[in-house]
Amino acid sequence: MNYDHKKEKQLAHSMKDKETTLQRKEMLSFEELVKRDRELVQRIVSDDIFAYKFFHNKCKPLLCGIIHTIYGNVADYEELVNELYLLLKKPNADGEYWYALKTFDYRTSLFDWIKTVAVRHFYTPSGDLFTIPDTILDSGLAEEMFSKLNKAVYRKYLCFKYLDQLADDVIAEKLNIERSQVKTLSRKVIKQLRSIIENDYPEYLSILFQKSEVHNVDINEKEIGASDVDLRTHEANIDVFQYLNAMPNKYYRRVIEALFLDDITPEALAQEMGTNVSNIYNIKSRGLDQLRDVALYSNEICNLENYINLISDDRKRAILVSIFIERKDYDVVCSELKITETQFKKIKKDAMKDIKQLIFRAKK
Amino acid sequence: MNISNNTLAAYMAGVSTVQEDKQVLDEIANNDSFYELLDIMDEVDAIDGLDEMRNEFNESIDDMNELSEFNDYNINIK
Repeated sequence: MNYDHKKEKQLAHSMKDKETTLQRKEMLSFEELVKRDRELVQRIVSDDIFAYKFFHNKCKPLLCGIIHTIYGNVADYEELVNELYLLLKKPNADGEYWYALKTFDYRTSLFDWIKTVAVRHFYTPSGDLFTIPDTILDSGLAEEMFSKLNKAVYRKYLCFKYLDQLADDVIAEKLNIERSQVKTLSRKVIKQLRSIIENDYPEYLSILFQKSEVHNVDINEKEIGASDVDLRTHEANIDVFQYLNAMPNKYYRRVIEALFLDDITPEALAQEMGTNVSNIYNIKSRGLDQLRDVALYSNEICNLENYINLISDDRKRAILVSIFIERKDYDVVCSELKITETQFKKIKKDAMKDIKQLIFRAKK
Repeated sequence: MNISNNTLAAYMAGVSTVQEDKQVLDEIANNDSFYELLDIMDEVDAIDGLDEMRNEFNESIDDMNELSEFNDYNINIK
C-alpha cells in the first residue's frame, strides 16, 4: 500500500469538498441547512407517507445515479430503494423505528449522508460477485470472452487472475501498478465483462454472475461478522412460508407472495386486487415491514400467546389475540370490540409496543 | 469495517476530524474492499449533475409538503 498515494487522495477529497461546501453556502448557510435537515428527519420519522415518498421520489435522482454507477442498467431500482428505505427505518432493540437515520450527526448535509449510506449499502466487493466454473475455463470459452474486452490491461488482468490464477500482488507487479489499484481495476474489468456477457453470451450470465447480496451494514453501523453471516445463512434455510403464514395481515401476505414468489407484476396484481399500482407498492413496503417483524420474532412467536397474556390492558390483549392467535380480519376485530378503525390502529400500535418490550425484556 | 456512516460521510465531505482521518487511512491500509468502496464513492461524486442534484435537494423545503399530499393510496389499507 502506498501511503502517499492515499494522502494525495485524501487531500483531493478535502479540496473538492471545500468547493462543494462553498457552492452549497451560496444557497443555504450551514446553520440553515442543519435546521432544514433536522426538520426533514423529524418529518421522516413521524410521517410514513412522507418518508416513503421522500426516499422513492425526492431521492430518486441521487439514488438512480448511485445505482447506475454501481450496477449499470441491470438493477431493479424499486427493489434496491425499498431495501435502503427498510434499512433506515429498521427499529432498534427497543422497537424505536428509524434508528439508523437517527444516528445521522448533521456534520454533513442529509444529502451527503444518504449518498454515503446508499453507496455503502448497494456496494458489493467485485470479487464476491464473479466466479468462473472450471468447465468454462477448460473449454476455452473464458479466453474467447476475455478477448472481447476493449483494453489490453483489462484482458491481461483477466488472464493473470483467472487463467494463470496469480495472486493480486503478483498481478500488480506484472501490470506495473500499485497493489491497492488491483481491486479498482478488477471492478472496472468485471463491469465491462458483465456487459459483454449480457450481450454476447446471455445464457452464461447467471452462471458467472451471482445475484448481488445486499451489503451488510447493520443498524449500529458495524460490519456484520462471520458468525452473524453463518447465523444468517442458517436462518435463510428456514422455510419462508413459515414466516409468510405467520403474517397476521392477509393482504400484506398476498402481495408479498405474489410479487416475490409468484413473480406477478405489480400492474397485474393491482388489477387482480382491484386497486392501483401505488397502493401495491405501499402494501409491499408495509408487508415487508411486517414480514421482517415476523422473522425477527420468529423464535418467540411460538410463545406469543404467553407474552400476550402478560399484557394487563384488556383491549390491547383482545386485539393481539384476535389478530395473531385467532387470525381474524381487522374489520371483524373492530366490529367485535365496537371500535373504529382509527381506534383499532392506535390500540394495536400501543399493544405492539408493549409486546415488543416484553419480548426484548425476555431476550435480555 | 469499523468506519461509521457519519465518519465516512464526514471524510468524503472533508469535515472529518484528524482522528477519523487516521481511522479511515488505517482501514484503507488493511481492507482492500474499503479502498474499493472509496473509489466508488469518488465515482459517485463525479456523476454529471451531482452538484445540481445536491443544490436542488438542499434548496428548499417548500416542495417537501407536496410529498405528503400523495395520500390516495393510504386509504383502507389494513
